[in-house]
This record gives sequence, structure tokens and C-alpha cells, in this order.
Amino acid sequence: MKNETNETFPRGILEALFLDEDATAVKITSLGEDKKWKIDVCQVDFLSPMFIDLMKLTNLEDIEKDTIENTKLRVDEQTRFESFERSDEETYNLGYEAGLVEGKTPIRLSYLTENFNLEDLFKLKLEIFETDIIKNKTTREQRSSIRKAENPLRLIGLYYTILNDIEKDS
Amino acid sequence: MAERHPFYFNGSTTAFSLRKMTDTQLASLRYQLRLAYAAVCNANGNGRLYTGGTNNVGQAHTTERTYAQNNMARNNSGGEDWPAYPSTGTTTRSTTTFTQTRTNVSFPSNANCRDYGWLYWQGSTTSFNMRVISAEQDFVDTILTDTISEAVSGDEVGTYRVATSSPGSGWTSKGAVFTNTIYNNNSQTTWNLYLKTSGTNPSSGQYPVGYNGGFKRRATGSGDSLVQTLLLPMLQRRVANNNALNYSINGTGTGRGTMIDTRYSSSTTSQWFTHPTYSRSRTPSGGQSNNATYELKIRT
Repeated sequence: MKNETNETFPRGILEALFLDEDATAVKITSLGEDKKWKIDVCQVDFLSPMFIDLMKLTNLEDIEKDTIENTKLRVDEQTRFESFERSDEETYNLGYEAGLVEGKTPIRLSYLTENFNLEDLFKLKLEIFETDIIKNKTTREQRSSIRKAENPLRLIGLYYTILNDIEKDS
Repeated sequence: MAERHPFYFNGSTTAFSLRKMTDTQLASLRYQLRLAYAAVCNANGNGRLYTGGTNNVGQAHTTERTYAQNNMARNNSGGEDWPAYPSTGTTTRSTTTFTQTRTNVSFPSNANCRDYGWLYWQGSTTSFNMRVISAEQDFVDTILTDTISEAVSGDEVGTYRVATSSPGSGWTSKGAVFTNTIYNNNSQTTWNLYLKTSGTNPSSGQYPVGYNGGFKRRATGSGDSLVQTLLLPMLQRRVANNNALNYSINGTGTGRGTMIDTRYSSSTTSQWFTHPTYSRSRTPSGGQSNNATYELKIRT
């Protein structure tokens, strides 16, 4: 839903995280006019038009909570990525079977369990956050659980559970 | 127009002469003007540099190489099964938009020039007048041009830098403005914006002389009327109308720090088969190379 009163973020925001440890700037993910995701950096500055528009959609307390959650996730992702760089497949794959697989494994499942990288996971989270039902009918805790999902199977499982819960409540 | 150097009292209160201040003797007044301008910028006033407003300075982008994958179905007729290795992609991770407040302000009134300004000598040694400085270009020639030049190339008080750590004494951090990420949105280096709010006062011990129904020595502190009512608005007019102390990203002027966007310069490949699909991928890795540089520039 387009928000006419918010010039900088007319389509709302997906995420706002502090850029630095001192919390002097924010990194804001939003949907642009071209319907593509974009990320802007803005100082914590109550006179900056971008920051003023951001504060119409969230607050510093929520940004801090989300940043802490995101940092924990990033540390874990970085550990896995560095393991991957060292070809430490056992750690990187977190127990998923790697290498050549022949047989009748469903293509979609193997794609999610073996070949799904961190970039794909991030994009899938963005897609889920973009759905109207997640944007408009979920609690902060539900969105937080999606943000923290460590792999695509858990992410899709959470998404399915949330959709079911919403359907039951409606 | 011309330089209109003020008089100063040379001597004691009972035995003195009026002499013309030199550029060196005006250095303290120029410093106090920069100090006043710095205080305004530090309080988010007219002239300040920040992020998230209109793009009148420039933008800086951080980009990354991204993972890529090619898939191909098994060729059951004896042909090639494996797809070619893909090239890594690129994506823009974040954008910083820099903005400078450049609001024009009114030139001080003649009454203000009389009440807070200084007297200068006009004419020859045998035929001269003492006049109150009032023309804008005279202020520019006498004090503003040198003040701006010293802000850009001297003590830098009243101006900004971008840097990964404090440039030194007198610099105030205004917060983070740019981060370089190389893969998966993980920050590698963060640049802060710094404003120089204080330096060393080159005090000469001399003060301009004005006229308020009699000769009067003007106070020259950054909070005094000469600076606040006359010189500060004039400096802000130079910022708004004449590009003075205007910032840009990769434009013309003197460099004030460079933000660097780097990417992984190589990649690692992997391949696998999942019936009936053959896949090959490429993941960014290895060392880093510069993709773009964003230098903050300031003009005189």
C-alpha cells in the first residue's frame, strides 16, 4: 500500500538497522518507486528529511532490537561463509549431505537443502516480507522469527505456520 | 571594490593613534568567524553537511559481487551435460545521499553596519574621509575571501572531512555516513563525517574601531555582534550564492577524504549433479579490488 504521507518511503520499509556500534547512522531497506528493493544510509538526524520519514514508520528502540538480532545472524552467516571459503563443507552445510547426489531426490527440496546460498536466503526473506499478509497482519515477534531463520526450510516452515495462524484467527 | 582594512587604537587610552590593521592582525577575526560558522553547522544550522536530504552534493554507493549459478538438464543424447560456469553478478548494497543546507540570508542593514562594523580610511594622506564599511564586496575583499581560503586550506575550522577515524584535535564526529561491504552485506569499513569545531586562535591583540557617536573598539569574539550580526550572514551568503565552502562528491575543489567501494576480485567455483540437473556455480572470494572511489571535495 502506497503511503502518500511519506515522501521518502512511500511503500514502507522492510528493515532499518544501525550501521555502526555507536548507533549514529541507519541502513534502511525499502521498496523504491520502480518496485525494486533499495538500501539507503542516513545519519540519526532528526532534521534530515529521510530520517524524519523513517521515524514515521519505526522508532529507535525497535531499530536497536532488530540490529542486535541481525548482528547475531550475521555473525553466524559470516562463520558459515568463511567455512565455505576454507572448503569446510561439514560446517558450511550444517549437516546437509553435499556432493553428487543421484537418484530420485525431488529437485525443489535438494535446491533448498544443498544449493541455497546466503544471498538466496536473504532474497527469499525479502520476498516474504514483501507479501501483504506479512507486512500488514503479523506481529513484531513473528517478523523477527522470519528475520532470524537460518536456512530456507526453517524460513518456509515459519512462513507456513504464520499463514495458518492468521487463517485460524480470521 | 577594494580591501577596507579597519583602524585600530595604537597606544594607551590617553595617548594613542589610529592605525590600519594588517591582514595578519585580522587573522583572529577571521578565525572567530570560522568558529561561529562551525558552531552553526554543529547545531544543524545553515551551511551544514548531512545525509538523507536533497541530492545537492552527490551520492556514494557500496556494491558487491554476487553468487551465480547455471543449471542444465542431463543430455541423454551423448552431448555435454555440464553448463558453463557463470560469471559473478554485481549489486548495489547501499546508497548514501549527501546534502548541504545552502539557504540564502539577507545582507545586514546599513544601521547594523554602522553599529557593529568598522571604520576605514578612504582618500590620500592630505584629503581623506573616515567611512563605515558597508558594501558587500568590500567585506568580501577585506575578510571573507581570506576566511574561506583558510577554512579550505588552513586550519579547516568550520569544514568537514570523511574519514575512518578522527582526523585529530578539534574534530567532532557527526556520525557514520558510508560503509563498504564486499559480500553478503557484511560491513568491512565505515567512514564517519567529521566537523572541525575549534583550532588555535591567532590572536594579535588588536581590535577594529567602529563609531557609535564616538570611536569604539569592537569586540571580536565568535559570539559578538560584529561576527554574529554582520560577518556570519555574509559568509552564509557566499555559501548560498557563490559556491564558497560548497561540497561535492568527486567534483572540483580540495579533497576532504575518500570513501572506497571494494569488491572481491576473484571467485571460487563448484559443481554438482542432482538428478536430472547438472549445476555449476561461482562464489565471490579472494582479495579485494577498488570498484569506485568517492572523494568529498570542498570549494573556495
